[in-house]
Amino acid sequence: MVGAGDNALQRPTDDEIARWYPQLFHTALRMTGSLHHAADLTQLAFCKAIDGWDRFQHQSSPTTWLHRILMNCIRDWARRNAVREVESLDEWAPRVIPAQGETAPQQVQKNEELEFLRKAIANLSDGVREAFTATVLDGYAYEDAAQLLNVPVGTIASRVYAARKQIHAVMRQAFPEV
Amino acid sequence: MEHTPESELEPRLHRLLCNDLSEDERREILRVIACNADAQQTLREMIDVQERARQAMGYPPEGEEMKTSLRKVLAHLQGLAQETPLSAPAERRTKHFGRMMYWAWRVTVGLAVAASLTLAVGLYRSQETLRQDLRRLTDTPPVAHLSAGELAEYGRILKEISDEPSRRPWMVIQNGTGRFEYLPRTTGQESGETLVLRCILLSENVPAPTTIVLVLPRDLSGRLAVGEVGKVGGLPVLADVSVRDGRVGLELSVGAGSELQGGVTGEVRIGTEPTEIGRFRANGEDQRVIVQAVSLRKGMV
Repeated sequence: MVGAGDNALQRPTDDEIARWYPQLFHTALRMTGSLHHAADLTQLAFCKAIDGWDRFQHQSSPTTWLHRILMNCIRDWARRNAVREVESLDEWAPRVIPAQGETAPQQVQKNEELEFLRKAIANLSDGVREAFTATVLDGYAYEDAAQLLNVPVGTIASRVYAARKQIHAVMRQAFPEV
Repeated sequence: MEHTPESELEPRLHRLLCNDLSEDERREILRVIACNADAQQTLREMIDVQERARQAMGYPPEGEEMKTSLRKVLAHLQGLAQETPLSAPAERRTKHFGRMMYWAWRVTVGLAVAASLTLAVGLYRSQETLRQDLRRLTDTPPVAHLSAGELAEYGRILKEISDEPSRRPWMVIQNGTGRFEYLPRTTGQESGETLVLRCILLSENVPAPTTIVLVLPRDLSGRLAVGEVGKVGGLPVLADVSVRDGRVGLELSVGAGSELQGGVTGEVRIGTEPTEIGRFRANGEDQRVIVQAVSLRKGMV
């Protein structure tokens, strides 16, 4: 990870970018509901960040800085395309991403079970659901989620733990093989 | 809100699950998981919940769209790195390449981009790979059981070397050589049963495992400081053994004093399958310690 001081002006490495990329891609995908737009917007956010890396202040983690840039890209994109929904989006609301292409037959069979699980996620309390979305769904580290949601890391850990226990209990009913 | 001790490990397990660890960090947490059944259970639960929840919310598997856009970002980064090093942003010099130099530079950049893309995109590990890692860590590798013939042979050796019928010997064997000593005299009742304890040290890069066999009275009281039981990579392996309630406790360490490289402490139930009690790192190699303990009745020795 890039730190302050002598290394402050070093751009991130390929490995770091490859590690950060999926989290931001998932956020973009969840918010836009489109693989194509998610790919374009994540790429745009990363290219902007890399071009302006010397402006990165190191007061937050690179991931949270990238997240802010991505959110700006998504809002710009939504304005340009008159996507009203995205303009008013809550950053951490879990949303069902529409299926891309054809739905596999086995997916159709599972839909009822998955709906059961979606309801369980929707029924989590607000704070627990946000922590679950940021970490388990999108894949941010607990430390990054704490910065993004403006709560202590311990709170994120407790909330994710509570969410997992609730979801796992539901899964045991919905998916007997778990 | 409830915050359990279990959740102290979870941020690290979560980062493992999200491929957000360096290779060293990844190796370290896998080592912790290998020796901790609770961590294994928690990680399984985390994988299950993440997979199912993402599936329910429509998150697609890591697809070509994401990898393609990542490749473009990495290519962009490589191009920038070649043109404008960040360390001197104000001194962007114009390069005056000759035609040959220009093409040589293009080819070099191209090769660098291709190599780093392969490396970085290869960083992705699917959860299936993580599941395989978990299985590899938690499943004891197939190790042959101590056979009846081997047990009889160890019993016979112990009987032959014991030249003082009033005293109780123990012995340690590695690679066909061994040493034997007597336990301190005790006044308690002796069962006459003998315990054969076999430790196998497995390393991925060393084809022949190190096998150490300890033969000792089953009714050992207290701890037996066996001392050096063999060598791994030229370093001495030291052992301490205790027997209690049908279980054998074993402490192995490699190296001594300032050269102490690592070690493992664990226990196995007598009469069960060969079991991995843990792993440690010595001489740059991960060593898995697999132990089996078998009791021999008095008449068998």
